[in-house]
Amino acid sequence: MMLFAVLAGLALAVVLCVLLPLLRRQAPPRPRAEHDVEIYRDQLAEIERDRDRGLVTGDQLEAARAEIGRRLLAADAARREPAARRDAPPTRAILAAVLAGVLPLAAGGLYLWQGAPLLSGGPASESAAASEPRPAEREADMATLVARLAERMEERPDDIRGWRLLGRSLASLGRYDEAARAYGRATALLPADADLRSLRAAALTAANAGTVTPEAEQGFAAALRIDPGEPRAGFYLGLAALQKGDRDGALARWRALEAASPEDAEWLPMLRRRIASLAPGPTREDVEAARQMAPEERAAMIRGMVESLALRLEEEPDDAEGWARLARSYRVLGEAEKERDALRQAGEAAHRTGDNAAARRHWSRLRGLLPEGSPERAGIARRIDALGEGR
Amino acid sequence: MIAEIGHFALILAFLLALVQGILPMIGAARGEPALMATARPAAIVQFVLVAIAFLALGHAFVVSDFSVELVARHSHTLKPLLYKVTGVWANHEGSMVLWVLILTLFGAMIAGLGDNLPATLRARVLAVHGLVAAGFFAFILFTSNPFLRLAPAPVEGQGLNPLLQDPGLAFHPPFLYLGYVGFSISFSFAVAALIEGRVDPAWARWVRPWTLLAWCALTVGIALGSWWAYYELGWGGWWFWDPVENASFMPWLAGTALLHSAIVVEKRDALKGWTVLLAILTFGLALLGTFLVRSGVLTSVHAFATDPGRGVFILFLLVLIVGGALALYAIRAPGLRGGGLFAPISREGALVLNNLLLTTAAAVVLLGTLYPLILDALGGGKVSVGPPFFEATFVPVMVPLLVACTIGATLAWKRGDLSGVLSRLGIAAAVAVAATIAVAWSAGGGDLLAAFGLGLAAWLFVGALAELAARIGIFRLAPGAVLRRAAGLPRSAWGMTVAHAGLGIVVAGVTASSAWQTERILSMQPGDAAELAGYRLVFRGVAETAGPNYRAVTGRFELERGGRALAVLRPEKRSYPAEKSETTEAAIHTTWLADIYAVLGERASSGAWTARLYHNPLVPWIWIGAVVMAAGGAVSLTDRRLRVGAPRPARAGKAGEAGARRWRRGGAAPAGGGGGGAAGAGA
Repeated sequence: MMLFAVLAGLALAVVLCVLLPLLRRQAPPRPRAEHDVEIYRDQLAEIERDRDRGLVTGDQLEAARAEIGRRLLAADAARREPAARRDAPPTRAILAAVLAGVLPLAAGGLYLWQGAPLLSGGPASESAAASEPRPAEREADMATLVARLAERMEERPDDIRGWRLLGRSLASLGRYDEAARAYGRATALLPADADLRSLRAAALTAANAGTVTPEAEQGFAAALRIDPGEPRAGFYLGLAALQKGDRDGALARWRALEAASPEDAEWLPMLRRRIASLAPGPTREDVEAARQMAPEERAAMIRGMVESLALRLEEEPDDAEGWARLARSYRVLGEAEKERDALRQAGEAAHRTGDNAAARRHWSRLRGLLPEGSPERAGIARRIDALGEGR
Repeated sequence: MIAEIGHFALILAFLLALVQGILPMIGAARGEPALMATARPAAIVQFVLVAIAFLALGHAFVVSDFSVELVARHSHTLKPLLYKVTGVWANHEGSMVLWVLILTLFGAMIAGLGDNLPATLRARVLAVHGLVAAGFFAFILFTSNPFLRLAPAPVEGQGLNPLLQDPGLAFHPPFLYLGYVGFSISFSFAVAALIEGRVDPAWARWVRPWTLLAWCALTVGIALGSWWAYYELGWGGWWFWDPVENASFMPWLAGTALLHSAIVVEKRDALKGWTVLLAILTFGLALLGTFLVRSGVLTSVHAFATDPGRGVFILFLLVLIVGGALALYAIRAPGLRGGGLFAPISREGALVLNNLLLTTAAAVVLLGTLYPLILDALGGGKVSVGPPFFEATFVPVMVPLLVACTIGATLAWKRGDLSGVLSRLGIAAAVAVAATIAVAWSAGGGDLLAAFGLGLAAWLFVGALAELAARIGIFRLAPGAVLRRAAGLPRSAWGMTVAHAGLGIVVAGVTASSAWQTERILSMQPGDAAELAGYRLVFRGVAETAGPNYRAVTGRFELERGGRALAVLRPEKRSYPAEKSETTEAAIHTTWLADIYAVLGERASSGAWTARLYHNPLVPWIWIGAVVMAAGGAVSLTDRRLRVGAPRPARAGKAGEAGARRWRRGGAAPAGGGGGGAAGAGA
């Protein structure tokens, strides 16, 4: 409705702009010779200005004046042209009425022929959002779609793309066992596909809550034999090594993967965090080297180690002793804020793992660092008291 | 809803253009002021309506309203905002809306500023303008409607041709259209004058500034287009005599002729019939260019529309507008009162020569552009008319034009003194000859044509300055007097000097870059080095990078000279996933005296990359010169006489009587007027 009001307003404005001059009394136009005379007079004045500025002199000046003067005389003679005729009002009124009817009708007709007044429109984001179902609905829809797809796959068991799609859909619903089976069907059809093998092994791993089973490990190894650059297999084999306690093996695999990955690969940030969490602490050689360094180099080295420790703790937040070590490092670096934070984390970690004695130790240290009477200090004191009750 | 409002506004503008084309024309014929008075509000409101339509379309692009088919076909949510906005005119339908936007803007400007035009002339000019506009509105609404809708709307658009996603090109069409459409004003004035049966003195005063404005915009538009072709297409050249380029160049040549002949009409009241014809031909060539580009007759990046229906419609429009105007010209031109004869050695004589040569040049380009099409249409097979044809025909016409340009600009009106002029230009001639010899000698006597070209450039540049120096009396008068004269010199004279000097700069750039370009096509492994015109380029391999809506392979070339590192060139090969196409981005290092230009080619199986390296001497001067020329036009446009167009009339209402009183007073008062009249009677 709003649209039609706007369109009608536009049409009305257009009709008015044509009708008003038609209906108003118009003064007769000036005779055209007067325009000519004015221009010639202006040209003469121009010549005089040029003369004053010294741009024209002598013959040139006279010739220019003569020429314009001649035109001026001719224009003066032409001034006695008949004046424009007055028009008769009745014809104008009829014309105005016709226009007032025809213009909106023609515009409306053309518009109804070409336009689409009832179609809604709007920004892509809005219309997309409007047509997109809510998450819960989407999951339900997804489940029915997957069920339908699974049925169809029984009829067409040779469709590799179908199996792959089914596997991906099942995995996104968290049904990893079934996903691994779907990928397995696809692998049976296309044994030389590293991607499929690695997807199946990853689904197996996910089905086992992140533990790389021997079967999954075999799958990854097979994928790597087909395509040595397959990133997923490289990552999971590293994880498998770590789960078996082989830190160096894991680190070697991940470093190799890091080196082979393009700079903007989406898995790189995650991979780097993992590598940082594994990086060994300072060895005796490191310490020895640090002793011989210049102070600012030493600070840089310590900072580097502290950072990798902090990254590792983000991955393994339950390592209370690690947090305590981090707090000591920050103390050395003079970062009091971070030191307190690390101590708080150390206490939390110890508390989570049930080591209340350690938690009391860390938090007591923290309390010592907080100023008297501050709300944080009171909060930590309450936590320590609560530990005492639990004992 | 906003798109629908735009659609309706466009329909109303069409109807209003019809009203504007018919009522004032009848009113002017029958002397009815009321009918003539409808022209002005119709023109102004029409512009407002088209502006509404244009903004509505722009809104649809900016918010990515894919329910509008045009947006769905030419835009994408990931496109940077700038290219969403320029996407409005980077397609056939939208560019036609921009076209009518500019057309109606000019119509509104005539309506708003045309107080000082005789009433019937103004009514007829606006009526002709309205008819032209109505033709284009019909074209848009019936064959290329930008507001057609899609239901259901797609979730994502198809993107914009990546070649067009470029700042140089983003602003090239608006300038080009300002130029093309600006010539429509001269056209409307020409046809109105033919209908009136007379060319008023006010006529020339109006036509010249509008032509100048259109010419400036067209100059900038062509320069932007050629600059874009230079750095985006990656071919190392800047002008290819491509039919699409010619399509914009022909109206430029004709418009340049029109610009100069309009001066003769204004100053000498002569050459009227010819100027009217030129105005018609210039706009006709602009329309022909649009037809060639838009009909799909030519295939190029510009051929947005390959729908034969549109081509036929534009051809029909072209025949109607230009054919109608020429027929009218044939009937009415003999009745146009001509000016007196004039001596061949005079400013106006030189301007006639200028017109002859420029129109010949335009005809040559027209022939070279249309010949293959006509031959193909007649079943004569496909031929390609390329640079060799144009170099052999266009250059010989331009050389006398450039030689005469400096002389003509120095000649006086009516009776020139050639020997006096030549003595004034002695310095310029000496510099030109010296430059020719110096260049020929340093090039080992090999490239005489190039040496001559640079001599010509020096002739134009120094000649323009020498003419200015003579006028303001440098070397003759005291510094104070020189400054006074310089300040008193009309802006149009300054504009001419600047524009002609700019032409000299362009000629230098064109000559040097075509004569001495160095091109090397190499297969390079990372670490390889290439020698190029005294520079050394070391290839350091490639890296992958990502842009907002594309991925790119970026090469790295280290540019050094004499062991000193100068710059790092990073040419790119981009691939746009949404549009599924690739572009090359040349890397250019400019020293203002030359460009080092690198393009990354394909990767060979050996791991080597093809690299195309160019050394283009003086190439930046082409665009600098073009901008200087346009600046000269702009300076000229600020001239008081041009800006005012014509003196303001006494206020309307009692206008007739007031004007008569002024005339009586004026007739008696100024001694100059009386003296002039007497001298005129005597002569």
